[in-house]
Amino acid sequence: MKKHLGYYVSFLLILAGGVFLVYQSQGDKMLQLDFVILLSLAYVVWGLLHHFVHHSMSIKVVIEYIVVALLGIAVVFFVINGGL
Amino acid sequence: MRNFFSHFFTPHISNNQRAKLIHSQTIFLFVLLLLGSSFFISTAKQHFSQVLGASVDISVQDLLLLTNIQRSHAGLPVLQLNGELTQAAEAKAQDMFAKDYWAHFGPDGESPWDFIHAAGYNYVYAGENLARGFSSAQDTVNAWMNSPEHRANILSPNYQDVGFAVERGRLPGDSDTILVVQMFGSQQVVHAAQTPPVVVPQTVTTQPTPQPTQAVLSVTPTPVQSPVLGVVKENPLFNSAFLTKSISYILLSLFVIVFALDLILTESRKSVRLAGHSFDHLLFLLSILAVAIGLGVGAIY
Repeated sequence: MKKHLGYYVSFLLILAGGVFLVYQSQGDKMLQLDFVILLSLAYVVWGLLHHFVHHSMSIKVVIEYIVVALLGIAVVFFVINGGL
Repeated sequence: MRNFFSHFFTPHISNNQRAKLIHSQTIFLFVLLLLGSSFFISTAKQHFSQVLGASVDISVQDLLLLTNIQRSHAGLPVLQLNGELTQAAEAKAQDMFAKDYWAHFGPDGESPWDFIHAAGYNYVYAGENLARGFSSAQDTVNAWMNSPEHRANILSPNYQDVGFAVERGRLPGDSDTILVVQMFGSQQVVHAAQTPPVVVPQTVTTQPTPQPTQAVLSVTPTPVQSPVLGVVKENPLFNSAFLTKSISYILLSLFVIVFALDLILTESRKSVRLAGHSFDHLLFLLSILAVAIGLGVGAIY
């Protein structure tokens, strides 16, 4: 875990920054969705970079990160477009 | 039953050491279901608004009462609902919708004071609070009270009158939102120390309250029109905001639990497999959960 500490600290900062931006754009649903897309994109890039550095990258892993990111975006879109 | 649980929710020999729920194909299926449901709910809201829609209950009467409760708690006299300030607030709301902006100052340099002047209110002091996207008057006033600048307006001893507009329309970033404009003003200098605190009245009068006569810069009071009381109230059978948020919480929590189980079990079993890091997914979905909790909360300006 120690060798991943730098990665997870930066990863947490990215995620916290994304959530902060969404909260800062209260009232503007489209801007909030844009920030969620950016957050998801950062998650995919950072996650895959981690796999790349540790030589555990594969197409299966790439697809996995992309679908989890899509799940995050779809949940937010579902609430914004459907509910509010 | 136990096999079903193991297969769908835990790493098991039957699912290639990865819970079926977090296989990429299953997650993608959920993505499609969410997108489809979103469009279905959105269409249902347009055609059956009595059955499904976002619950809203904001009225000028409630906003006035809640504002004056805050002033009474601070030992300040209550504000009187003023027809000209109401007119100014409505004009400001219409201007924001027409010119597609969300700010105190318009794209052509219009200031709140222009609207107040145009409505015929000759102010000595004036102020403006804005809010959008709230579903109740209580939430709106609470948000203003939690912001030092907006709170200062509500609790200013310089104001005697207030006007509100509650309008539904399109603003930047939102095709359908409830906009609240609150305009404050006084037509003569108020000496707070000489004005005794007043208890929140049960009924609201539109006539200006007589103030101490030592005022400087006073202007002749103009006849006050009976203000139009704006109300946006919708109470559909099913609250779409509650429905979609509840579904999103349940779904995200389910995925978080399954990824956590996956992380714990694979670590304890020392399983070796080619897959993404469950801890990454866990952290990402927790941040999406935090985002989902904050969605639908209004904004103030």
